[in-house]
Amino acid sequence: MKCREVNELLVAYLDGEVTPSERTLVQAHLAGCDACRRELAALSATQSCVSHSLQVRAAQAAPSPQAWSRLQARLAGEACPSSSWLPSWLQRLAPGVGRIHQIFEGDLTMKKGFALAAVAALVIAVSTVAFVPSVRAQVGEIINTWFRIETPGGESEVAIGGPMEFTPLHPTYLPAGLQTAGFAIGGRSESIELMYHSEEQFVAITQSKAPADKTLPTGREVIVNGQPAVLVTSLEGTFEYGSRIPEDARLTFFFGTHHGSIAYTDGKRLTWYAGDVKVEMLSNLSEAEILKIAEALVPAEAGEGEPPFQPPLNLPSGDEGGGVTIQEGPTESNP
Amino acid sequence: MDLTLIRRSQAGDEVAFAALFHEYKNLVYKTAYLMLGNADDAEDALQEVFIQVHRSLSTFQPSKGAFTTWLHRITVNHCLNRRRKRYLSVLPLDEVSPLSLTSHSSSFESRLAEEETVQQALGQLSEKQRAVVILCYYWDLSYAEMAQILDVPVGTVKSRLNLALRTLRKELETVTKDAPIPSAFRLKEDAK
Repeated sequence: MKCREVNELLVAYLDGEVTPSERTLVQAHLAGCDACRRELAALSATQSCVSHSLQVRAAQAAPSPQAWSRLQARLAGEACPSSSWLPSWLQRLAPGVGRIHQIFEGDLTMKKGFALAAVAALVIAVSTVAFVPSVRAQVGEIINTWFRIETPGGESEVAIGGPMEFTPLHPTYLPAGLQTAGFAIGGRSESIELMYHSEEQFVAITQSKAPADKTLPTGREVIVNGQPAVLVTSLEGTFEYGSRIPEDARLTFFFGTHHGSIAYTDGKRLTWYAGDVKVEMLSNLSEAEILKIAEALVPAEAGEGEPPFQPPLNLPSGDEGGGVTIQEGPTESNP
Repeated sequence: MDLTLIRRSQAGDEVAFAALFHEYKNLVYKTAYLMLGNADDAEDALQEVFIQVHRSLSTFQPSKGAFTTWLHRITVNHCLNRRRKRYLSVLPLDEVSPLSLTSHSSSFESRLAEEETVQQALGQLSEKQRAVVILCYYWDLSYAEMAQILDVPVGTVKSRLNLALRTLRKELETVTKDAPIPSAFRLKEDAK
């Protein structure tokens, strides 16, 4: 066997991957060839070096503790046709957030670049992320309003492009057991809906800018924080959490990975004005609890211009895995 | 136990799938980390691979091969398809102290420098060559197993590994010719 032929077999020989006859031939050649023995030693040393280096490098590598919760959220999103758009940066930031739904109104002319930037500007920040200057500049051009909504177990920080016509209110009291189902921002940021639920109970708080006449619907008159309010009772219907997209919603956030529905026959709707905000609260909680929540609504911390929290590191892109799909108009699966 | 988990997962048991994830997350993560070179990409790969596993678990047939082989195949394919060469997250060579490289001690610094040198050399391989090197010299898989994972003949594995090792040897000699001689090469010199 010639040196060249032996050389072709040396790596496999070291790996124990030659046939018995090849082994015999290689060993016979090595016994009388210094050059091939040196080559074998060099290749063996290279293998040792590489193997050791890979072991050292891999020993330092471990998945993040949030890996499973992120995957769960993705899998739950896959189970729902309208929910496969959760951008990977948001999963990293907020693994507890199940899905984002986004609808841009059909008549709204919006270039893709702006739309993506608008999505990037909408942040649920739960951790500190490095802030890339180029992203800051791009986002800074379109962010006008930010606010913080306290939710059971945490808070959501939201920054939006365009003005918010009022300062949203958020509840400082909720009955034990209720968790945040999600929230939705209306078409041109003129409304916001906060949704909370437990297994059997729910409350949805819809807010919008008060009209000039501040009229109230017909119903039983009650008082909320000294203001006249109207309570309508004995409502029937089904409250869907984790999947329902309010009419005209531009952006809907679903928290958690579960979705379901609560049928109710004793629903109540409380309507009143808190300053310049019209509030409608739909719930199947007791009247006393509804009034208690209503009286515990306070303005969220809010501001204009650059938010005091940080947007995500990477702008989502439709060209990369985990990017955001932008759909114009309402989705068929979510009428 | 694994087969039970797999069968339960195939039947839609999410608890079993969670157990499967925790059992094999390190296999996927470490392979992706070694192939892609950074934690963020490895983390994304872990997600994408298990999404793929969840989608296609029903097609896995234990009679046709080990689950780890199937999982390795999905992982390696994902990494190869990324088409982004962002492997090197190593120190530039000029930041490696010549003193530490020439030292014959096994100090932390010299070992670190050696490892960085090897990582630099691994970065010179094609992605397919790097895959066989990782499967062979980290996971200690046989050529037949690698052939199954990569869906190529054993002869292709053999030639890729042969080329990869020779490239690595050359790269290590090139980057170390002015000063550093990794300990493994000193063995060669000592043997002369």
